[in-house]
Amino acid sequence: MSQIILLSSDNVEMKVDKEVAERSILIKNMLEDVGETPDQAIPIPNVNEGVLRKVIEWCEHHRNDPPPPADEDSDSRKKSTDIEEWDQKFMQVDQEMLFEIILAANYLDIKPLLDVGCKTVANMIKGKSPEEIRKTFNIQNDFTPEEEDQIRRENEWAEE
Amino acid sequence: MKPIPLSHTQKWKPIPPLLPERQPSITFSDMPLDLKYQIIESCDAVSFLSLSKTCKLFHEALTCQYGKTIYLKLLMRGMCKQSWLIYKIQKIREKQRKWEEEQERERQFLYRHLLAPGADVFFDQMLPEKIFPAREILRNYKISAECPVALSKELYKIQETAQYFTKLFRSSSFDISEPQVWLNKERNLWDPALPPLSVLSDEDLDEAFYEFWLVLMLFKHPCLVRRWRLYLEGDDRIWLSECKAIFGYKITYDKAKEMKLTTIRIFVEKLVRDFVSSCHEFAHSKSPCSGLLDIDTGPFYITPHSNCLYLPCSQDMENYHLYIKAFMLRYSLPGIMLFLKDEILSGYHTLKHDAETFLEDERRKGRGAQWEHLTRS
Repeated sequence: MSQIILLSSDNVEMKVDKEVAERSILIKNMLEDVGETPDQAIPIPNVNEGVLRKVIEWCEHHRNDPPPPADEDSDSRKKSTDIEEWDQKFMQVDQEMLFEIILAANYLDIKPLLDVGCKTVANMIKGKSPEEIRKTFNIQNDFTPEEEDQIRRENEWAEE
Repeated sequence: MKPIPLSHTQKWKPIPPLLPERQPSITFSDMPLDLKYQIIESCDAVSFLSLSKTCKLFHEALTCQYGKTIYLKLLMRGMCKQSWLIYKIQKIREKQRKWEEEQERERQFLYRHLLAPGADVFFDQMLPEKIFPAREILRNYKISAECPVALSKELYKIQETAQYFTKLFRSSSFDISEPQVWLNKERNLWDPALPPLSVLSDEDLDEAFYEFWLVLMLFKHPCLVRRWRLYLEGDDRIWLSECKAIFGYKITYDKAKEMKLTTIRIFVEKLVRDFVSSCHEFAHSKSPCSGLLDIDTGPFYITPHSNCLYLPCSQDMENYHLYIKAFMLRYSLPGIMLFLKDEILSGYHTLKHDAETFLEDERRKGRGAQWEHLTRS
């Protein structure tokens, strides 16, 4: 099986099966444009070694997944927040890594990984009050008391 | 895009990043806006609201037009077919009310202008009553481009109502299929239009109808609730008239009758028992309203007032309001309360026919004497 080399933003090379790397639509298109397996490293700027290793780990595990059906739109993918058990464990990382994976999945165009990342964050928000969400994501409450009161009034139809 | 070939020396030098360097520790707030939206689209509607209240950044992102469209989509995603049917039937009823008013105006106009005085014997023959095509309109109904915020509020309340009743059905061990999420794949992301009801099978329609019907019975028509006993005792004629009123013809009723009537009846009995029991609890609670409940007659059997000529009267409505309050307290359903508040209040105003008002009207017309004995009793 042919392999390619990916080069992370911090200049670390990683050998990957071509099939695995092609889970990324960005890399797949690049390889198709070149027409042959390159022997030089493909630079992946903006994705550091740690994140790239995680992304490759995910692609390795899902290398045999069938491509999503052609008629499946983005909304039907998002309608459930269910995440496979393996993916749940995979996403048990610190928040910084989680958001880095989402950014990398978006950059590399790996939609199923992006969905898993977004659903993981969505599950972290689910069932939490605004204050709990602030704590979870270290968000600063920058509303004035008047603004908070106004927002409460805007939403009281959903709270009564 | 071709990969950039690297020389041997380049491999050992740091390559400048193509994008500006990010902060060393990225947080949710730092994520690009498009990814924030992608995450939010994976949330549910309640999470959306909570998130919008965390800080200015999220509040602005979620209350702009794009954010509102996402919110509406989240709400719609969570709606089961029962909720949609409730929503659509309500809309159809609004249309029906307007249609009937229009018909009435037309009839009055013709009566005044075309027919000679005293010719009203032939009036009905000349102007046969038209039937509102409810079922046809219901099947083809699509949500028009309504204000997303107003629509969101409406859907939120209906969703809560439908979910409650679905839950209640399930807890009673009745076979109710999982709420089916309706997604219109042919339509793009930003179009809130829904598929017509023609995609529903008759069985789906019946099932949804029954849940809707129960909602109506329990909360919207206190005058029909009086006849509850008849439903339980098996007088199917009332079911028939209800089906006719909503769907315009008898087929739905007949089909459903074979399949569901017994099941629904058992469910209704259970519901009534629960409700009666909750009202008993409420009546013995410390609520200042508890003394007003007539627990001997049961919450559904609103006692007619001896001096009241039209039913339900304002006193009935007041009692009924209390029953609903008791019900809400029992089941902690603020959303339903909100949903029903307008219905109850509008009913309260339009049905204010207490004896005094009636007698006053009659006296003005010079017919007061014939009713005096009722007030004396």
